[in-house]
Amino acid sequence: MNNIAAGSVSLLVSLIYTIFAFQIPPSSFKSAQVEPDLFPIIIGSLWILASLVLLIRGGIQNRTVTVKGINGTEKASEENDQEIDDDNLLKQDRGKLIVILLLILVYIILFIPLGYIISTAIFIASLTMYLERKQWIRNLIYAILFPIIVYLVFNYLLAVNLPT
Amino acid sequence: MGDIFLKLITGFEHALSLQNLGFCLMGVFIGTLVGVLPGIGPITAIALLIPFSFGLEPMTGLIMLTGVYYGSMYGGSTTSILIRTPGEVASIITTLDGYEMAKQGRAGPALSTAAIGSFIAGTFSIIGLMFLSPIIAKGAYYFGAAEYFLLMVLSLSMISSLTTGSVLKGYISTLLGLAIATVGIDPQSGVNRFTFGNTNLLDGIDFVLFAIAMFAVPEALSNMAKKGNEYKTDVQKIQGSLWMTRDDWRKSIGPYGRGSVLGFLIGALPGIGPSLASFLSYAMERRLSKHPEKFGKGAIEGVSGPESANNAGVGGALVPLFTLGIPGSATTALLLFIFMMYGLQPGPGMFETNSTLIWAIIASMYIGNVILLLLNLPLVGVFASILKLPTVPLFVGVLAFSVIGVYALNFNQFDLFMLLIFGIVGYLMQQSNIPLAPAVMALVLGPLLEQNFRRSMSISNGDLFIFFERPISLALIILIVLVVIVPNIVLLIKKWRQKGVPPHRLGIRG
Repeated sequence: MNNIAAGSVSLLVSLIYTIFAFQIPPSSFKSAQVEPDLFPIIIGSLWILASLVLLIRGGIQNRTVTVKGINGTEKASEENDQEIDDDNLLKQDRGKLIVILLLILVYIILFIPLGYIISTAIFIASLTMYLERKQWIRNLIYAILFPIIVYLVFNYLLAVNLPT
Repeated sequence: MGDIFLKLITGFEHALSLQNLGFCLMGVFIGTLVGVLPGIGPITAIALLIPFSFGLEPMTGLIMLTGVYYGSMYGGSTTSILIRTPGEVASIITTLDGYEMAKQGRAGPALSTAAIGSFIAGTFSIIGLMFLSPIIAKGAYYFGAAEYFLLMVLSLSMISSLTTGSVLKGYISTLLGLAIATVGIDPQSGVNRFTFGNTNLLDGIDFVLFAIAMFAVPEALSNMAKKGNEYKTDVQKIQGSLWMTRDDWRKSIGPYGRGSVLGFLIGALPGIGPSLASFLSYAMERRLSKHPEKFGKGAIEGVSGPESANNAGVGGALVPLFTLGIPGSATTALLLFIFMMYGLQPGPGMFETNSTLIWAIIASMYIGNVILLLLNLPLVGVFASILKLPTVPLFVGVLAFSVIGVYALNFNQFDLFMLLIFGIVGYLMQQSNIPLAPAVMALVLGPLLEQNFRRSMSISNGDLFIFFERPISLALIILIVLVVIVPNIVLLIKKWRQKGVPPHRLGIRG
C-alpha cells in the first residue's frame, strides 16, 4: 500500500477509535485523578495527527513522483522511503491472497464443529493443493500426518484437550 | 563480589538439573532452527511455544524460552551467509559481506567467524548482565511511579524512531498498540472500554494472540501469496574448509571485542534491541578499517563484528527486563509477558525475591552458549540443509501452528477470529512498510504506562510537575525530547546536504 492508502485507512480507524473514546463513561470513584477516558483520548488524538501527516506526506510524494515522471529527473527525495523499501517486499498476488484468507476463515469456522484433526487436515490439504498442485502426494501425506502428530502431542504430552 | 559467584553457583546447581538442561538444549536448538528459517524469528517461535510451556515449572519454561531468544541469534547468520536473506532481523547486515564470502567459496570461515563471535559476545554479555544488573536493581529502588512512566515513554519513543525507514510509521505502529491496550475493563475504575458489549473483549486483546497475529501470520501470508509459482531459493554451498585461517582470526579478534562491548551497551538501552547493535557495529568496523572499500565485497570483519554485536545485544536487552521490568525490544516484551504469566513481576525486587530463578536463568545462558557453539560449528551443514525445506508446507504449518497456539490460550473460537483480523491488519501494515514490533511492545507497555501515570497523579494530587521535580525524571524528560527531536533534525540535515546521493537505508526492527 502506498502512503496515501495507508494514511487514509489509519486515519479512518483512528477517528472511529477517538469517537468511541469520548463515549467512555466517567469513573464512579470521586477521588480518581485520572479518568478512564483520558488515555484513550490522548492516544486517539495523537494517532489522528500521525495519520494526517502520513496522508499529507503521501500526497506530496505522489505529486513529486508524477512531476518527476514528466521531467524525467532521476533520484527520489530522501524522505521517499517507499521505493527503497519496496524492493524488500515480495510482489503480491491479490487473487491468491483472497483465496488463502478464505481458506483460513473456513478453517476457523469448522475448527470446533468438525474437531481439530479433520478441520486441520482439510485446511492443510486444500491450501497446499491450491498453491502447489504438482506435489499432491507430499501434500496429502503432510495433511494427514501434521494434525495427527500435533493432536497426540497436545492431548497426551501436554494434556491440552483439543476439540474432537 | 563473592556474593555474586555464590549465587551463580547456586544458579548452576539448578540449571544443571537433568530437566532444566534438557529444556535448555531444546530451547537453543529450536532457537537455532527458527533463526535459520527466514520469516520465522524468535518472536514467532516464543509466542508459538507458550502453550507448550504452560505446564512447565517457571524456571524450566523461562530457561527454554530465553534459550530460543539467544539461540536464534546464532542461526540468523547462517541464512544471511548462504542465501542472502536474513534469518531474523538482527542479521540483515550480515547479508552484505557474509553472502559475498560464500560466493567466493569462503562460506566455511564466514559461518565459523559468526559462530565464534556469537559465542564470545554472548558469554561476554552474560558477564555484563551478571555484574550490571544487581547495581541497576539497587538504583531502581529510587525510581518512583513518575520515573517508571517516563522510562516507558522513552522506550516507546526509541523503538518508534529507530525502526524501519519512516519514523512517522513507527509512531503509528506504537499508537495502534497503545490503542489496542486500552480495550477491556479498566482495572482501576472498572469501566468497560471499547468492549461493545462483547464479553470476550472484557479481558482485552490477548498479548500472545496479538504477537502471533503480527509476526507469524503476515509473514506466512506474504510468502504464500507472492506472484508466480516458484517457491524455491538458491542456497550457496559450503565448500572447502570450515576453519578460519590465521589471517581470518587476526582480522576478527578486534571486531569480536568491539562488537561485544557495543552490542551489550546498545542492547541495554530501553527500546533498542540487538538489531540496531549489529547495524552500528558494521558501521563502526567499516569506519575503523584500513581498507573500507573491501566492505560489501566479502570482508570478514563485516561478519564478525555485527554477529558479535547482536549476540551481545541479547544479554544487554535482558538487563532492563530483569532489573526494571521494562522490555527493550518486542522479543523481551514477550519474555516479560511470560514472567507475568507465571505470576512473577520482573523489576528491582526480583533479585531479592526470586534470586534463585534469575541466577538459574543466567547460569543456563552460560551453558546454552557453550551448547550453541558445539551445535553450530560441526552441525552447521545440517542446519543449512533445512533451508531446503519447501516454502509452502513450511508456512502452511506456521499458519496451522498459529491457530492451535491461539486456541490453546483460552479455548475460545472468538480468539481465532481475532487472530485472522489482526493477521490481516499486520499484513496490511507490513505491505505499507509500517514496522510491527513497536505495536507489540506498546501493547505490553500500555497498561503499565497508564497505571504508573495514575499512580504519579495520585501521589502528586494531579500535579503534572511531578515529572520534572526530581533529577532522574528531569533527565528522562530531556532524553525523550532528544529521542523524538534528533532523528528529525538528522533528516533535515541530510535533506539539506543531499546532492543526488542515493539514500542508504536498511530496515531495522527490534
